[in-house]
Amino acid sequence: MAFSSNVRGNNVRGNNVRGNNARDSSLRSNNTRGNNGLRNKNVLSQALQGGINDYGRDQRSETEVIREIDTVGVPLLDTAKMSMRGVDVFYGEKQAIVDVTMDIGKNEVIAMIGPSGCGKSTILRCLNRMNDTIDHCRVEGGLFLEGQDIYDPKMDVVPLRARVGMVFQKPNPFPKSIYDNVAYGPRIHGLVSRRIELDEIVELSLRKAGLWDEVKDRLDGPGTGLSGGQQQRLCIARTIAVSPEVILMDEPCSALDPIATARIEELIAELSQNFTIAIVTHSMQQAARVSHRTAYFHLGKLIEVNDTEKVFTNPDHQLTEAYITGRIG
Amino acid sequence: MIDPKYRTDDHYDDDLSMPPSSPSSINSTINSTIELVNKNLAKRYAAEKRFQVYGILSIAFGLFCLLLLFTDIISKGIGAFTIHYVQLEVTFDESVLDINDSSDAMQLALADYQGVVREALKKRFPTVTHRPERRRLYSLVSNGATYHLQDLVQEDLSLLGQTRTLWVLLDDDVDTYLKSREDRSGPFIGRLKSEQIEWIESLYKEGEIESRFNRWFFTSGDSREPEMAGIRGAFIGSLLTLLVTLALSFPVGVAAAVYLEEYAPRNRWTDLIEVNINNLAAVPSIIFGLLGVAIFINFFSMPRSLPLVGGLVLTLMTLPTIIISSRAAIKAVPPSIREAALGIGASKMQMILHHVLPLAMPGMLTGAIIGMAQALGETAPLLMIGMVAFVVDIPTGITDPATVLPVQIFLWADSPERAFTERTSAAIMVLLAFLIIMNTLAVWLRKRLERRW
Ligand SMILES: Nc1ncnc2c1ncn2[C@@H]1O[C@H](COP(=O)(O)OP(=O)(O)OP(=O)(O)O)[C@@H](O)[C@H]1O
Ligand SMILES: [Mg+2]
Repeated sequence: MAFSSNVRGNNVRGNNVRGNNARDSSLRSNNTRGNNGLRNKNVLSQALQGGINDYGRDQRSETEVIREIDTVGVPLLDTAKMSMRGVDVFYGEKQAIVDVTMDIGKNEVIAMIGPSGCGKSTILRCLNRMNDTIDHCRVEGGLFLEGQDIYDPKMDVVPLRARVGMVFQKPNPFPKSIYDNVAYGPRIHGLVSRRIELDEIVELSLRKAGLWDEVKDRLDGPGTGLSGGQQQRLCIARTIAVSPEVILMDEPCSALDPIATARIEELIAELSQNFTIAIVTHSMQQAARVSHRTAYFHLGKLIEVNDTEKVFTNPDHQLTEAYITGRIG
Repeated sequence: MIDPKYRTDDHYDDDLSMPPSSPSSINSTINSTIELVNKNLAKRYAAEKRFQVYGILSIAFGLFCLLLLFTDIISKGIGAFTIHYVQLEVTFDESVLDINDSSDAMQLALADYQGVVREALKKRFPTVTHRPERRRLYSLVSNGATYHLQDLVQEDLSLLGQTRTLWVLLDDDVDTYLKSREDRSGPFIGRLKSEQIEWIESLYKEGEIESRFNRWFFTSGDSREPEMAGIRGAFIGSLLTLLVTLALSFPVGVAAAVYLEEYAPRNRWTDLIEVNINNLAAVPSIIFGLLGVAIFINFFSMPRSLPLVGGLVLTLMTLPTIIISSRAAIKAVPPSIREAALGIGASKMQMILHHVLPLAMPGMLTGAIIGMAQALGETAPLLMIGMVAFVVDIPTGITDPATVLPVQIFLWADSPERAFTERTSAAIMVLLAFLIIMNTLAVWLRKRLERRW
């Protein structure tokens, strides 16, 4: 595999011990599922011989075939921070997510990969109910944050989003000063009562985001006056200023150059000590570098979740393999 | 004007007539492509030049019309800013004034100030003895002069019995004659008789007539006498009406826009509301006047001619404009900013108050100013609610009868006296200045708000 050499060696593996344990103990009742997955894999593997889009022999559309595939790998964990159970998401009539069941472990970095339009952003935005802002979006199934139902009508989205923060694809600092950008979250949540405490939070967040040294002399300057990479780190600082438990990142580096990307990747590795991170990325190298586990989505279906190293060296599912070797994309 | 061979589809035909490319002739294809491009280049540049020229011509035409308008209005109206006075030796003779007790305010108010002015004129032209002639002599001076004398006496009682050299306001016919003295087409005589003109000329030659700044125009309300008529009443009326309009339509319009953009569900009802708002913006303003009469005057029995009622009617008229432009401004706030705010747990109201409204404010202000400018120039609906009345007193509040600048212009334009024609143009200049100041203020405000990077 081309990417195996890119996987960061011992560090990543060391972090993954927890994941491996989880796999051993949490296979649970998943055996049947696994078998189904294998059966379908055979159906697909025939199709794959003639190119991924040739399902002619089966007389069924690709979507229908994909729907019947069961998730392979280790979707369920013992130490789940967030869990999804049979999640379906619809935009009007169109189904964007099909029956996704998986866990996100505590303090892990999980990467979500898959071809464009497969629903990575959609599932991510379900995790802090950002999808509420889309009128015609409907979410079914169970989503839980530490066992609490996120979509419970009694659930308040304001504290939920304080606990599950989000960093967007395009850096989107507020048109305010750098200081005010970072201070905004703590202010609206009333986390601090005195200016000194706020100053501390701002400094700490900027330090954690690796931006402090670059901006400490111009905290009153505009947040939008920073470079793209700096803006994205400012957005990360803004997110961590409210000390969320989970950070969702939707292609955080897609607008950045390789150096800024490297800074952010380092940052993710550091943040993973305190936060649970779910990151959507189009760069498989990036997924391989920063994540502990990787989830592969295809046409709204979760195909495979496994340890990152396994996904990139010896994936369980042929679709995953086809994707990471560049046959789907 | 456009040569048919420059038609765009011909261009494409040219492009399509390119020889079909085969791998062996790829180099020649590239060369011929460049040749074709070069061949068309001159045409394309010519077309672009023409395109620019059309734009410049349109702008030049617009500027020319504007210039024409301004020169016409200014040349007609500039005269209203000056007015002629005559120098007279006025003796405040108690017997003429008919005052025997100077501490009696009533007597001071009712005294015959015109009498002393007449005495002064008699003294200046002792040869005029014939009665009808005398009356003509007296009519050279404006009735308004008496107010000035009254003020002087009331301020300083020691004037009684004294003689003073005073500058007294001339009648509007005399003023018009003096202003048109130098005209190529000859002076405007109007109702003046030949002996009156002789007197005026003799006064003028002696330097006893002087042109001064016309403070009446800026300090008094409407009047039957053109030389005493001013725009202050209408100006204050306009200001009060606009204040009412702004105070009502801006908050209401912004609130409606925010609700419709941010909260309202998309369904048939909101679609209906949206269509209706758009239609209302196109309804002729006089309809709003009728609505105002029906609601505020007939139903709520409010009195006519009040800036309050005028403001309410203009609010109805400007609301659609403000709602539409505010909605556009709110829509223009990038979704990424909303997501950023929601993403760290701002409530919807916090998102709107902290991020959407500040960013939309410049656009909303522009809409409000456009609405206000419309309201400032509006006449028809105000005629309906009786703001066309002849109001001499300067309004002091929104419940005093008043008129507004455009209505004042309308009234004056209708008057036969030539002095009113002059004042009409001058009032238009004031209205335009008002508008320009308002717009400048708006631009400045917008720049200031936008400067937040
Ligand atoms: N607001 C929306 N309204 C309707 N359909 C949508 C909306 N957002 C996404 N979709 C559809 O849902 C599917 C999943 O979209 P999503 O944005 O989650 O894909 P993605 O995996 O993030 O793609 P990419 O990698 O290009 O960002 C797509 O088919 C898309 O067309
Ligand atoms: Mg996406």
